[in-house]
Amino acid sequence: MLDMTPPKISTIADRSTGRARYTSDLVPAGTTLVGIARSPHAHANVLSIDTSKAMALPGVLDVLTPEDFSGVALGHHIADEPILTDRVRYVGEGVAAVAAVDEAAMIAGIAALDIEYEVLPHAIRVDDALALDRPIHDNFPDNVARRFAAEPGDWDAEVKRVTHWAEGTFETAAVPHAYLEPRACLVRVDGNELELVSGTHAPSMLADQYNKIAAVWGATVEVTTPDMGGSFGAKWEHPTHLVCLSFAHRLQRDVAMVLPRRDDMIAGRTRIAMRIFMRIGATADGELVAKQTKVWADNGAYSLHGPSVLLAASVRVDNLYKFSAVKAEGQLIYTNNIPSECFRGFGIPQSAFAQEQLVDELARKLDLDPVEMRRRNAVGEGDTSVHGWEVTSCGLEDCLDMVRDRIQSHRNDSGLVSDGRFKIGYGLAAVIHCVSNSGHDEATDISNIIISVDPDGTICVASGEVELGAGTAEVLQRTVERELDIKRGQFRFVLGHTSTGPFGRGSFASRTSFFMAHAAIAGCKIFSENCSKLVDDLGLETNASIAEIAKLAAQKGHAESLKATAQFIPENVVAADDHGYGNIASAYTFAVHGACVKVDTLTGKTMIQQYWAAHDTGTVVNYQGAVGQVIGGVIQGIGMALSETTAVAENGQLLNPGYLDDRVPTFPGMPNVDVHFAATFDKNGPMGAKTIGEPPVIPVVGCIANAIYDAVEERQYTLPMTPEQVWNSLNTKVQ
Amino acid sequence: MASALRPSHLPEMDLQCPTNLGDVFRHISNGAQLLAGGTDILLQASVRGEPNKLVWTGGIESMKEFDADSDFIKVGASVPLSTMIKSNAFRDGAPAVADGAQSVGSLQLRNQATMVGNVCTASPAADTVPGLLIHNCVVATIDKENNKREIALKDFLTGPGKTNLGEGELVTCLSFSRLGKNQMSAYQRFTQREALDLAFASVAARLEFEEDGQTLMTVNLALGAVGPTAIDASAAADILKGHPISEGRLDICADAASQLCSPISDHRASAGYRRQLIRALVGDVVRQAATRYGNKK
Repeated sequence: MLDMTPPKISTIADRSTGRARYTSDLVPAGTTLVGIARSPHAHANVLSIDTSKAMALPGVLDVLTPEDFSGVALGHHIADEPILTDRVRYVGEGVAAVAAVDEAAMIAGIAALDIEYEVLPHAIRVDDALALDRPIHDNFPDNVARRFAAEPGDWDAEVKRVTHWAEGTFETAAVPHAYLEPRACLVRVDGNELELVSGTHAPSMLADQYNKIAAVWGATVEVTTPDMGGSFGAKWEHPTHLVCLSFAHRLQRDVAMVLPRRDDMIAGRTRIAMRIFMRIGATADGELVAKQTKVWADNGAYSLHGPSVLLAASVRVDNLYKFSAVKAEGQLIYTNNIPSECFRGFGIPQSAFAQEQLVDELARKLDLDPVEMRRRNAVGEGDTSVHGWEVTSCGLEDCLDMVRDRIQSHRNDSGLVSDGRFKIGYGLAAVIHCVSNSGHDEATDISNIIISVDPDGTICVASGEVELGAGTAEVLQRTVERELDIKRGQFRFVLGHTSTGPFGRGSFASRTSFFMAHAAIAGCKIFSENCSKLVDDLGLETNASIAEIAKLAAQKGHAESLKATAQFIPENVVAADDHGYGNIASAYTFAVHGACVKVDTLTGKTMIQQYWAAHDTGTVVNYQGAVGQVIGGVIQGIGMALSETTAVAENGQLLNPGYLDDRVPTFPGMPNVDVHFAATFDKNGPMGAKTIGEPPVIPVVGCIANAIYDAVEERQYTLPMTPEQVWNSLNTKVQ
Repeated sequence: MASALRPSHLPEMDLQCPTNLGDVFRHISNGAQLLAGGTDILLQASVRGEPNKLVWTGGIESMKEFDADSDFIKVGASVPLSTMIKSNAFRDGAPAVADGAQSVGSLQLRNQATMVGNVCTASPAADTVPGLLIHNCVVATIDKENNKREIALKDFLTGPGKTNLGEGELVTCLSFSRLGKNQMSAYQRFTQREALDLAFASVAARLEFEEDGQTLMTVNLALGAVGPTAIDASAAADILKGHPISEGRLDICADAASQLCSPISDHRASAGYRRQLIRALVGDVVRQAATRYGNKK
């Protein structure tokens, strides 16, 4: 039997003082190590793998090849990603795997593999992929993994009212997730019991998926999530997990794999790079009437969440404004790039980059204040948006006022003025976002809670959700403290532990706190009622505290009768239809960001002088955590705006596998971020709360692009807006 | 092509830490590679799997020498950059070199990295090299027969990653001139990110003024990251000599400097953009040095 004690969830103090224990800290010395033999080719058939030399090496325990995973594939929408592949589709894809007694033997084992490839023509750009004479996946002959189209409203009638159009074609980059903790996993084994210890944002979903695969081996899988250093959408299904699970089961040895940063990036996931053509039409008095969007999304080699990100990128930003008609189409195109994956914002920062710039452009054309333009056109409480979102609370006005006022004061007081070389500019952008996305997977969009009493009388609160560093644990603790009127230390809690905790969908679509807190409130209510029922039997006064009751109940053997289980399933939400229509969430959040930039016209470098972020999140439950989420999201957005990308050589090789050349922001050069929360209360939210989660990253790229335009009067169509790119935009006309 | 990419773990390493030069040379002849601060070599080893035999020079007493007070500042091969940066005498005596040292990596890297290592890695973008060039840096070497050489830095660096060090020869120290009377220097680089980044282009300048404190007598310029090695671009600054600094003359000088370099295009920046950065930096650095000079007076 494996010891299934749930891991301790660290506090912020633990994390900042080095006491937190991440997966790599849990790997005992001497654990069998796993390494992946990664393809140097972007597209190739694997003709043969000779493992004999590797197997003969001292210290090499086992080798796995594609045959060992024949018929098994990962993929939430399209099961297209092999565990080990006999058809390579990107540089760095795993072809074979070696388990060895130490790192040196593992590396030697990989070097001793003799793999014969038949190299195939490859494509690293979507246009090349569409023209490639050899499909990347044989069952998708045109290299299009998914098509999407939507056309709500009477397009032909509405466009007749349009007097002004703004349009452009925008390109965004395949930004790596840049979590601080590289991918790591430890698998513990006892007979047919397997425990996968790994940072993931969706442990229950992983366990479900992996159990289906391990059932064939006669094994079961539980997932344990220790402290983790970020996911941002990247850390869930991954072939390396199954490689490690398989080795552990075959060898009956605990195994581990901790990727170096470089390998984590080569074999990683990225944000989906997109080309977006967009045009927005308005009337002369500033009504936004019609919007057309065409998306070409670079899926990379495998689909993962690509199809739903495509949908989100094609239509979700439309919901912010009261468009009368929308025409959207998108295609998700296979290339020989690193597989893309959902990433905080889920495709929406990409389309917000386009939309918020075009709205800005229309405001300028119509001589309207950009704040007024948005105020006039945005949805509000009681509205149903063009794609069926029902807005139950809206703090957008408050956010617009805050950013407008702060920008005005800054203009007056900062003393910053443009000169011949340095230009000052201000910009803003707005966003709407959903709290969860039931359309994505209705059946699993639920959250469970179990409240029980340990033999020593400690109350145990177990949620199926997970702490990925965003403050989930704090929200859970505050909710339980409030609902049961107990103190920290009088209860323990379990997160991200499938063997002792209940099912939870995990951190998708900014849903965690909303769902978990709802379930916790319901669970606490039942637990309190159970406690009340026991008061007499235990001989306690009616005003006895919950903690006292639990303690005595445990002593007298009544702990079991206190146990409470509860589930939250959102009401009045539906799965979006094939055209993205439907009220997919219980609540919607809003935000407005503003930026002041200084652009050096000699070098094209943008220096952000000040940043404002106003968010409508409903009731703020965990203020410190919420501010942290906003600042973190803004800085992540600044990376996407100004410096982060994957540079890929013509042969498909990643040229910047590290944070030197994937320029995630560093503290020097980051602006002060002035954070503001609108005073809203959503009737559907737990304690009136909505969410923070993804929205802080979404408007940043559009906001900074608008500020750059304000400074230098050149639209920025390509991300990242590097100094060279901005300088080129200023100098193309001259050349 | 290999069957598979090498996992990027550090290889197992044989590390020797001798306390005398004789042992250093013995390990070199056994195939060990020199290790100073290790900030470049360990990265390299994790990618390539080699070198995996290293000999550390930090145990050699004579290589820890750092004399910032003499007319020629002298720094041994084992002195970390952060030790140098803390010295007022060094910062006052060779501001452009100090600017470069201060630009390298992060505090943790500067605590470990050495200037000799920065020079011997011979990266075209090395932050200390342009400053060292305009401060007339001389590289002192020794080989196992105890032959000593002194080579001007501009001759020592021969290409990206290449120096004219012979086999079994090692650098013991660098010496570079202190600022003379009426002189000032500065170094600036252009990076996309404010910290932990590599220069896309960099410029160091040393100015010498007439007694009036306004008229430039001599100007030395060196350009980094825009050629196989750092480039002496002093010729571009002739236009500045004999005049007070003016924007018009600075523009001409900046254009001339941008024509003297031979940048490459890569995933970091295009050649044309690097030339533009040189244009911008030349003016910035000369102005900064002049302002410093004015503040000192």
